Amino acid sequence: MNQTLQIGRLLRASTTSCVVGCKVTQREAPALGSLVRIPIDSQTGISIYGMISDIHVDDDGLVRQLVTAEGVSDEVILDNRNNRNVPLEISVIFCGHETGGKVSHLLPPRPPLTLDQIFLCTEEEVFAFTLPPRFGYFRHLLRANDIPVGEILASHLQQTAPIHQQKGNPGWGREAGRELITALRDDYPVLIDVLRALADAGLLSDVIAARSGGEL
Amino acid sequence: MPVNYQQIKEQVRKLGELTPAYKQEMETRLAFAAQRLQAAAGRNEELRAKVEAAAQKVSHLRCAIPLAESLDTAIPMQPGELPGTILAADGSQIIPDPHAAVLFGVVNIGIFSFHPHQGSTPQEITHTDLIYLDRLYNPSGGLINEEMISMLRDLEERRLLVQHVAEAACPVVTLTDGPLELFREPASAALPDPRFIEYLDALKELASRRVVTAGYVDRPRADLLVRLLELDMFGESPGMDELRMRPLQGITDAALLGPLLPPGHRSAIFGLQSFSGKFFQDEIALHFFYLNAGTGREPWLARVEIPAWLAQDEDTLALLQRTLIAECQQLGQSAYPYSLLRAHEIALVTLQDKEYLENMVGLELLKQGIAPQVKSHKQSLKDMAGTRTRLK
Repeated sequence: MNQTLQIGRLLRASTTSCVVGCKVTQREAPALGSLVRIPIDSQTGISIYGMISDIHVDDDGLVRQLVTAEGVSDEVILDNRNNRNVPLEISVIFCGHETGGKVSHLLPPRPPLTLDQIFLCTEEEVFAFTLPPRFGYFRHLLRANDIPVGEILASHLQQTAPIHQQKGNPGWGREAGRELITALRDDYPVLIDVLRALADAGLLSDVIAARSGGEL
Repeated sequence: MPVNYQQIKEQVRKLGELTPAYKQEMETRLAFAAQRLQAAAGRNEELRAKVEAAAQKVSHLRCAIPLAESLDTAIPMQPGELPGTILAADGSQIIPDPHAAVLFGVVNIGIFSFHPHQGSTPQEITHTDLIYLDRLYNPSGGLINEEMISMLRDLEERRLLVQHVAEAACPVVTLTDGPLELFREPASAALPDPRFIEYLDALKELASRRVVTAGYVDRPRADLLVRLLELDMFGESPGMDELRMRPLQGITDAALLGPLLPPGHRSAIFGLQSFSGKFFQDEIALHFFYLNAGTGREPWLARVEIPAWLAQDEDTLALLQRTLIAECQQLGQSAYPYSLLRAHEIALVTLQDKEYLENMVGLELLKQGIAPQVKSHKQSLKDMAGTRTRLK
């Protein structure tokens, strides 16, 4: 995906994360683990990078009533998705920022502001942000509480590895797996969780190959 | 303490004590009313004559007028197409408050445009009218009150329906919440409000375009048919004292007809005998029927008001019945037309909206160099005394 796609606008933010609101019908709704970019200062070119860690669909009284009704028409479903003010809430964990074209995996200097626009990263932006040895952004996810870290990372690796493959870096997935094992070597429960998720995503064989090849 | 609970406790206990006997009495009256209904069924011409005679004596008589169908008729929903467009309108208002910092009123109308089986997203249309300066006063110089604002709201609902019908796919069904007859209008037969005349003109315009027009009353408390049965119970030429009696008081038409109408069925069509009937004439003369909009074992009746031309057009009437049932089914067990619910949701002006508008108006006046106004002392003290939880 090379086009810049706006996915929504900022609802609330802190130093480490934010929540974005978008319409439920967004056809190209982003996936868990996708990287997003939030331009916060067009003059200095500062953009925040973050990873989608949760997607929350809210309800209200009418929606609760409709789910119990039989034969709800397509038009009523469209009405509730397009017209009614029930946004999809997307949680984003900040992973780094870019200033004047220079990528950093440190937290941004300040959070974005209400109604700032959020864009799904293009393949070029994903490639530049995740280029080895750039795995420092993993730490922001690994220290977050109450999120399915393993699932998010597995999804992120699944989305990112093919981009690196296309751009002549087929070993990216293996290196990312190695980085994760190193980062989690003292946290067995989370490590097992992450490895199981990578196995379910079909990414574990690369990591094991890396270990048996003596790369670790 | 908002309520003297010590004082009311005894009254609540008494209410509980008396209710079983009262309920028993109502059941007896209901059974009697059902017998009278059976006895009156098929005697429409005779009943019409009784209504005419009573209306000569009691100018504000309100009751059902039997037409062609027998009183105990139950007509099932006919299968067929749904309309090209359903336009539902509802309104909400801010009543000018002499104690507020700035004096203004608002009439907010929501129109919900729905196209069944076309796979398209329905449209929401909102029309907001700010009432200020000279428009805040009635012709006699007083500040316009709740009734006048309601009149403006009802007129705007109807006007906007006329406006949007022009671009809607046919056939068009328009729905509004509540009866077509307006509450307390006309207040006087000699000098009706000009806005009421405009309201009638809008109804005539819809009738001339053969736009299906219906006012939907959920959980009706009306006793129009019951009143007709009471008239039938009196002698041949009842006097005023007899006509004032209410032997079936407390029984509603819905309670009477509920057991006769299976889900999806409608009652007979009745004419409406009322004081305002002088104004709703010819093709917009008021008629109504009851509809069991529910799907369960317990009937859920609605009263539907329609104009005369629609009452006489069987196919279009069947289209309306089908449309209302389809609309109610969208909300499952809580049978109510979906489009009307959405129109209400679009139109609703909240307390938060009111406060925001007050700020907007105050700021605009400040820009024009007009010193900020303040709330009345009474209002300020009320606001301090406790949390307001409702719009005045």
